[in-house]
Amino acid sequence: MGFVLSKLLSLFGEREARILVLGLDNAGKTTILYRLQVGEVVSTIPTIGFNVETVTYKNIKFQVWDLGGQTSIRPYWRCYFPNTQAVIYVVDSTDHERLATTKQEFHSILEEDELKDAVLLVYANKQDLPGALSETEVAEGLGLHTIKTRQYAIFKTSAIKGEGLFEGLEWLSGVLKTKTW
Amino acid sequence: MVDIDDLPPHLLATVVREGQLDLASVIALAGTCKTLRIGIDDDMCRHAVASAAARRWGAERWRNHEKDVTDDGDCGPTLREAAVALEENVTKLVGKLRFDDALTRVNACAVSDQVEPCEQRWARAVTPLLRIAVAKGARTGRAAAAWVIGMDRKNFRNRALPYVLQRLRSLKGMNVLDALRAVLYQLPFLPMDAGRGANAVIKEISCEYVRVNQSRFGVVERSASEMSRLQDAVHVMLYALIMLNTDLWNSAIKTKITFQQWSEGIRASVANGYFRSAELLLFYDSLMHSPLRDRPKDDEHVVLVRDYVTRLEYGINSSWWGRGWADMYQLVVATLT
Repeated sequence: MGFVLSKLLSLFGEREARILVLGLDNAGKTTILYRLQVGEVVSTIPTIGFNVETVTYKNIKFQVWDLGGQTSIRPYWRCYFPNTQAVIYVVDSTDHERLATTKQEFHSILEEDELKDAVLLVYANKQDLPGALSETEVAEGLGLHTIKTRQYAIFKTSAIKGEGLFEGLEWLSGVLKTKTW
Repeated sequence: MVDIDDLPPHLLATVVREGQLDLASVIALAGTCKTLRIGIDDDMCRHAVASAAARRWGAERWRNHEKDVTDDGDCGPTLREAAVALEENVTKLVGKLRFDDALTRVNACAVSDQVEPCEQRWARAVTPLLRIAVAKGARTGRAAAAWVIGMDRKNFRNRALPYVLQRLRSLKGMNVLDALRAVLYQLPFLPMDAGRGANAVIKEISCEYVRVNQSRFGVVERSASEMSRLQDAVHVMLYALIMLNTDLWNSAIKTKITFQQWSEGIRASVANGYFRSAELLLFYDSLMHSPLRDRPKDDEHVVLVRDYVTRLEYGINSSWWGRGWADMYQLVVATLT
């Protein structure tokens, strides 16, 4: 499973929010991150390592970590879970066969104790492709209705066309502004 | 009909003796081959002949240069200028190559004995130009890269990177961080961004590392499942080291991960138990003081490839440069991008 970690730095006060952007491989995480790069790109990593981009959207500065890795790496990521305020989970809406797999991954992430207070934003991605499940179907497939203890929302998106991404960020930034950490 | 290496000695001698000839003159000389009836059957073959003549011309210049250095201790600018001129002209020749068609015909000759002799001669003649074209990256492709190293195209994707790694300086006896530094130093163009590229690179480095370093982990002979777990552990450690390097050295990241946080991540993973705390501290401290080597800038990379191509042109085939940067570049890039 590939991972994409995004770190959010808010400009209000000195607060710093970290966002993990996760999903199965080929869900469209990288495309989403680069489509979000409509603001000023503050940095391009000069060192050997994974791409880190800082993207400004409205009054929020997103520090985007674009990472890849196999399933065995996921436990290592626990050291980045503390102080994470939100998770963006990306689903390939056309990948019917792996819907059960992505549900399993999704819930295993939610079970992480360090993420129990994290806000949840789901992107039902690849809506531009034929056969894509609707956001309602993706929500059912992921079992979103079983989530009772945290704020969440799902948006249909097309990373290629850039549709739906900023609506999701709008919701996320609104929620984060009301939270304290 | 004669092969390219059997060009009339007087013709090549003339080319070499008249060392100041430019490539246009060499090509013109090669063009006269047709009138000399030595089997130049089409334009491409004539270009190949010109290329061969140019290489011999260059090799002779190189030998003269070495002799000059020995005698006078003065390198002089002549050779460099000649190399630049040669490369520029060969680039023009390569640019005229109908690459896909030529590669198909050369491959056909390689896999069958039932090819017309004239076609075999054509393939032999055009092969140097194909190699140059591949090395220059003008027509990069998996098929071309596989062809350069004589590898089966079907298995190329899975075998190219292991092939390259096994030809680097051995990783035996190194700790994981030193091994990673060694690989990155020798292959500075490795993709380390997100996705399957980085994952494939890390996977192959971990496989190669475990292959030559089993004894570092205590047991010489392990079961298949134990080997799989060991490879997973090394894979996670390599990933964690690259991640740590990013964290420590990217100025945009304000809050740096502490050793305790980092080592807790390791202990939570399958790498737990394979690396002692003291070794983790050594890794953290090493990366904190000395980052993984920066990638070379594009122009440095171009210089590497150009140098290789120039040496190829001059007929210099040392053990390293014979399967040098350019070949490896083609392999890795064609496989992983």
